[in-house]
Amino acid sequence: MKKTNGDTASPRLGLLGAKQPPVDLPFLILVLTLVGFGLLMLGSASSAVGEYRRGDAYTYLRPQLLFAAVGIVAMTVASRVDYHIFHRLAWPLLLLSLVLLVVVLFMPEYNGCKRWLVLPGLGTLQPSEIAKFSVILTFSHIISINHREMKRFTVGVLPFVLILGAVTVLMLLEPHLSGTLLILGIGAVLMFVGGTGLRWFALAGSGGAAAIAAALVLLPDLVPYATDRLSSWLDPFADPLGEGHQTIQSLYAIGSGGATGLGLGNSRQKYLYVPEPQNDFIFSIVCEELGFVGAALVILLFVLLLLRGLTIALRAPDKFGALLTVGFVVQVTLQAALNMAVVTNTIPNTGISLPFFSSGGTSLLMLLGEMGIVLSVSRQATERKY
Amino acid sequence: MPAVPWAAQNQGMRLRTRILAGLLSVCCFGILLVRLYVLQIRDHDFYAKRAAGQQLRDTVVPAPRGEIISADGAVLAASATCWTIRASPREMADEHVAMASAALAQLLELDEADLLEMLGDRASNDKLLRRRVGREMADAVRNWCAENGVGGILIQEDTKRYYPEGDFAASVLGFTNVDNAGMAGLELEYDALLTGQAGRVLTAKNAWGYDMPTRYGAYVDPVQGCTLHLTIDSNIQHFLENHLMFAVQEHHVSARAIGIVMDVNTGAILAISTKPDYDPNQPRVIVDEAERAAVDALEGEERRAALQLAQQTQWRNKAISDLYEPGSVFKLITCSAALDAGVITPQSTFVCGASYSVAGTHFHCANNKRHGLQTVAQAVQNSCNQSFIQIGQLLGKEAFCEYFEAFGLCTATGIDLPAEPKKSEFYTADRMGPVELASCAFGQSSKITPIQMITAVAAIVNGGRLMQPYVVESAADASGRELWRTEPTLRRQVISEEASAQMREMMELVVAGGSGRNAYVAGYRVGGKTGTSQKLDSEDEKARIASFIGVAPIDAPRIAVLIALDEPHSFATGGGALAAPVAAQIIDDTLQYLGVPKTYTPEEQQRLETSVPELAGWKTQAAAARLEEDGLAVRVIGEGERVLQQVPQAGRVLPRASTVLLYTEESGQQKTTEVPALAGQDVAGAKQALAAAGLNLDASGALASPNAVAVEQDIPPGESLPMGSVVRVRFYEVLVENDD
Repeated sequence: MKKTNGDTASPRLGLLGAKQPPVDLPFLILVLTLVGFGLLMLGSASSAVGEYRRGDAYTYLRPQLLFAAVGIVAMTVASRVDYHIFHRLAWPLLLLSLVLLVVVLFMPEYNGCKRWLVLPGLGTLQPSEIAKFSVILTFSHIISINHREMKRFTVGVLPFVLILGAVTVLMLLEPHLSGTLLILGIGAVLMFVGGTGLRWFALAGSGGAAAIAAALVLLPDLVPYATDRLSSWLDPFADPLGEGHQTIQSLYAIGSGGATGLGLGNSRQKYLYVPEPQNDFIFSIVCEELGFVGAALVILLFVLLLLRGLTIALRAPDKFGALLTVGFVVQVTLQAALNMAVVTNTIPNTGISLPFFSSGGTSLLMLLGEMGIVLSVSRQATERKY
Repeated sequence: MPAVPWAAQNQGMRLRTRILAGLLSVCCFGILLVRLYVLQIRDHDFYAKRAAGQQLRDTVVPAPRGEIISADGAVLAASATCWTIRASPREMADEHVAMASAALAQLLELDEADLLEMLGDRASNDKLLRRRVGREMADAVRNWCAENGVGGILIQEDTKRYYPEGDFAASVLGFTNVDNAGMAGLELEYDALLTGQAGRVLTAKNAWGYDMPTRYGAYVDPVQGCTLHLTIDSNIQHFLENHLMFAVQEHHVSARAIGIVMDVNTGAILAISTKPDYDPNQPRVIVDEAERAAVDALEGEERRAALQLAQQTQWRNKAISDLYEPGSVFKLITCSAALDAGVITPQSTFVCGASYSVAGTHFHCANNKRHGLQTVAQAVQNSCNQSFIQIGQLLGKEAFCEYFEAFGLCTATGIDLPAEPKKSEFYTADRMGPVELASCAFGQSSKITPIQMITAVAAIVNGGRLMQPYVVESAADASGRELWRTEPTLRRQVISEEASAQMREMMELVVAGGSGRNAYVAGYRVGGKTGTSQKLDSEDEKARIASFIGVAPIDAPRIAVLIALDEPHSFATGGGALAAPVAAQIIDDTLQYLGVPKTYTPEEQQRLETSVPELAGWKTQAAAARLEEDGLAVRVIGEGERVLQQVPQAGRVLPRASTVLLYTEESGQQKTTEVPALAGQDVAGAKQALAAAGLNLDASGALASPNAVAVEQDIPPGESLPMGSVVRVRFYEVLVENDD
């Protein structure tokens, strides 16, 4: 890797003491609101499962509170770090995540997947989370270096395809379909914003379609599996105790919430009907307890986070900052949208958690750290209004 | 050279960022909002209902049925709380199954293997273990479960119908099935009213079937069904059932006996019975022992069919549901119609010869009697068929049919009891030839129900007003608030007041000196009409229905009593011989109970009774004088100066000329004597036999009739009694001729 920074561009490390420009307050407030809201809903949604599984209603909330506190500290620290240091971390982190993605394949299975690395004493770690982070770093890094030649295939397409290809293959081996989709989405967004020619997207789209068609022709065994998944998505009631069970229970929760919901803490579906109400399906409990109004509020918070985050990107002093911001903000909102789409059976069921809401300490910690990087970018915002 | 990483953003990138913002927020989140709107607002009901369906366990708490209470306040049908034991095996821990099966088998008196099988169905959440157990059993189960920490056994409150009086008024009350639904009688007719509103216990369950926190639960109290207050008086019902049952046994009535007591002015039913009936607490048990034994002797399909037939027979309320030929009782209809139409007067005369020929058919009177020249009153008294054929001819078939319909004999009376036939069997004018008119006129060829018959007779004596019969006086809700009250319903004026008065006089003559002599009741003026109908559709040619309708007091009628004995096997088959005495006893008891004072004729005065004074301590001679003053005879036992004991005791009511024994010595043991058999003796003979044994006679029944003989005595022959005791004997006129 070629070092290209100059004197004026030396990263400013001002962790403590040094006076820095303020962070973007609206974005900070949005993040803290989502964290608070998320903790509140996790406390409600996980109470019954905690009670029945561990005999403790707070069994899921307690560690989450701890991680939220640590995460906010991490966010503060990250916001004070000049984001330009990530130029240096991009490639090493990508290498590390690829190694971890390989290592994880040799870990014991859990629920038929090998997604988790067990860190003795610290809990579990999903290498795919690291991969997401490093893909954002690497892409931003590459684009900000090669921005002049993004229209060329060897610069604007090939490196990204190679990276995404490696990550995708490894993640599909776990398998981790939803995570793969998310990383592909983020990668595509960064390429789009970074200036990759639109025809490549069109080509990728038709190529994907062709690949699916080819797969169906070459591997006819996939057809029944695919139609099964498809039919259970289109009509979950066809198999209420099997394939459709999770979806049906989620829909019952969402539907019975009505306009204004059953009231905070009054969910009935969380009593072991909705599977994983503290995790992937927490949004259905939000819908049941707070109704359409509450659900729309959650959506609004994510939309505002997206818009404010992209505003920060527009005001970022350079392409690297803008792309990092776009990457992290899109990662959060795309994941939220995919989660809600799954929970509402808008797309077929795939395991994906809701940022800020779902139980999961390391994931919240990383999320807040990433938000800290966005805040760090916001500190260097140019005055110009966009 | 500008540092590459510091490359400033360009317009293209900013444009793409903005496009991204718009795409993501509108496409992703916009679609989600629409989707949420569909799920939460548009389809809310669908999902909410299904969610509730899996979350809530709805336990029904059955409402107790409303009570049925007689006019005098006796509870005839009540409801008691009981408990139904169910199991939800999936809520029971695996290790408890065997233990619970063994313990519950003992507590609930069930088979352990069966229990093990039911509780072993681990996925099930509802198994019925035992229905309707008492408090003790329910408590035992509850305690056992609590002590052993066994879950999954549900003890649900339930309610059970019971009839405190047992085998009483069964055919009018009816009964309920295992689901507490009315199956017959009032229970069926007023099922909706009596049923009440079931309560509910709503508990929220989690996906494993355990209770969710209680705030999701709800309890809706059951509301007891409405109370029915009957016109039926339990005392009168008792009189009716006792006398009717006695007649059934005495006369070996094989096709059951019917009795109705009606308030002639309102149509209210005071008592109604078909005997023998059944115990509504156990309606499926065959009451008749011989019948039950016969059914039990069979097996398989045969037994099932026989049992069903026997049950349906004993459940049938013949008073309402059976069509019968009223026979001579019907002559009251023909006669009153002819009087009302003006084609005859009570003084009109008819000739009764050997036979009377109509269109080539020869009609005779019963027993081929020739009554000769008679007035209408005598024709009624003698139940003369030939006269009534002529009366029918005078009336004409059109008028006959009009009156038949006007008396309500074509269609149901509309009484509030189930299973009344919609239509009776009769000839319409266009299908009625002269022969049919003739036979119809004296009570053959038409078939009606007993309730239709008594309702029509009530109209004949009450001034011509046909009332709608009813058994429910009022209904009240569970809190005691009256919901409605039955007002007597006048259906129509059938005959004139004048014709009605004439009919009353003629009916009194029937009892005073005609075929109804056995219905005589000392002190009350009774009118009536006998009937003996051949059962034309029966295989047994000798099968008869002996019936009688009595009305009293005939000068100001209050009650009508219909007695019909279906297929009696006794010394006679006639209504006058068998049914009239039953009616007389019921009239006597009922009018006394209703407080109607007795007024005696001079002859009756002779037989009047007097009360024995308290004589203990009196000088013997003074006591004797006092008794003689009261019209009583004296027999002094011993030589003492003062009376120490007396038989009968003071206050006992005795017929005049009875003998009172006075004991005057300490040592004097009470003399006892054996009661003689009196059956078949006339009044004088019975009196003599009792006097010979040192006993007194208290006679009742058809005393005015010269041919009355003793048929029933309250102390059986051979029993030992203190001398001077009173034996109550009933006399019937057994030689009353059959009429048909």
